[in-house]
Amino acid sequence: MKPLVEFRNITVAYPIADGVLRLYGEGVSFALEEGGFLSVVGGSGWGKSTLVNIVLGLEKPTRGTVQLDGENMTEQSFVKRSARVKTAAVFQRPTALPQLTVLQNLHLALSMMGVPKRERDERIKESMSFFGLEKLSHSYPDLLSAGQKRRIDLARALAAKPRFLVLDEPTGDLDSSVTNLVMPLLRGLNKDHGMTILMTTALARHASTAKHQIHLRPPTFHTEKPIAR
Amino acid sequence: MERPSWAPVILSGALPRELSDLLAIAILSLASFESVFAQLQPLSQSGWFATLLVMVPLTCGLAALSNSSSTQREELALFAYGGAGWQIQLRYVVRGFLVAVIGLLPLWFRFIATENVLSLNLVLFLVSASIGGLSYAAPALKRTRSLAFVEQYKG
Repeated sequence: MKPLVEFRNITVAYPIADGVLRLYGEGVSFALEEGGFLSVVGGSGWGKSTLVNIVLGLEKPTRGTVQLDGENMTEQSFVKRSARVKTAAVFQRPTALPQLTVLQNLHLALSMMGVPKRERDERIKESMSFFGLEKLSHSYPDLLSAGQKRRIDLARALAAKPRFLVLDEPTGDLDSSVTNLVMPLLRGLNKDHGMTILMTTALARHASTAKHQIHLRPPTFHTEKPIAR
Repeated sequence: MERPSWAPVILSGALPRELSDLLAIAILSLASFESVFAQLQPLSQSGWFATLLVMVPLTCGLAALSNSSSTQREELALFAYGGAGWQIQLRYVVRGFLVAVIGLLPLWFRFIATENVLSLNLVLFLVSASIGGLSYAAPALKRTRSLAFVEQYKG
């Protein structure tokens, strides 16, 4: 079976000083099949969010290739990747537009995806209801807590009904009651709807929600030239 | 069948609405009024066009720069919602164009009142406004293409 997402020998190098590079994920390789659920586990600063950005095409790896649905998409943007494999992302930082209400944010996101108006209303209603956002529908994101903003992002991603869902530490700002809702929801989306999910987490108990796990190693440092005395 | 639509991205931010946009409109309006009323000589075409070529891009560029902290959050959201880089740039080009057109309206009225509407002045007027639009989009282009931009998605 052809993998939906495949990383081949991915390495990312960031220059942190003259001639010094910080290397993330030296030669990370994995294949995520259609309908798979993968957790990427690692400590803070180990490159989990960098890996998410590379999956989405927001950052380019220094070495290696990213294949989506059998095609090399290493150099392609998020938009082009999403045109091939419909993707929704939930980032570690909340991303709602501050000048729009919660409801308007969800409408804008779905209208950008081309979801027809009637279907949009239904999907948003369902998604907001699941995450308990009905009472906040006319609130502006800046007036909400971090956990509420995270729920907006999750509601937006789920309302999009993507083929591939990417989540960067999705339970980061959530209290345990909502976390207890999110993890079974992700399992259900994967099991019942066949949605392919890639999730990063620092917590082993959340990682176990997924069918498969990969564990990142801490970044290493590489000097390109001898350090001057 | 769902097809990504570009219209919402552009329409969601095409109208001037920041305080800095209004200030830019006010500055361009003052300059336009000045050139309409203060000149004793008939308006020289090369003179006003050269002035606009300096003034419009600077004013529009500065307006875009001074609201960059709030607009960066918008850009992050729009990319996360599936917006393309060109769509986000286009909304700024349109916004900058409108800032310049509204700000230069006194000059435009002067042309209508004294000359043929479809004159070379109209072309030069639209060129100035277009340069204003491009200048408005320039800071965002630099910002969204930097590595520091995508770092903002990380916690």
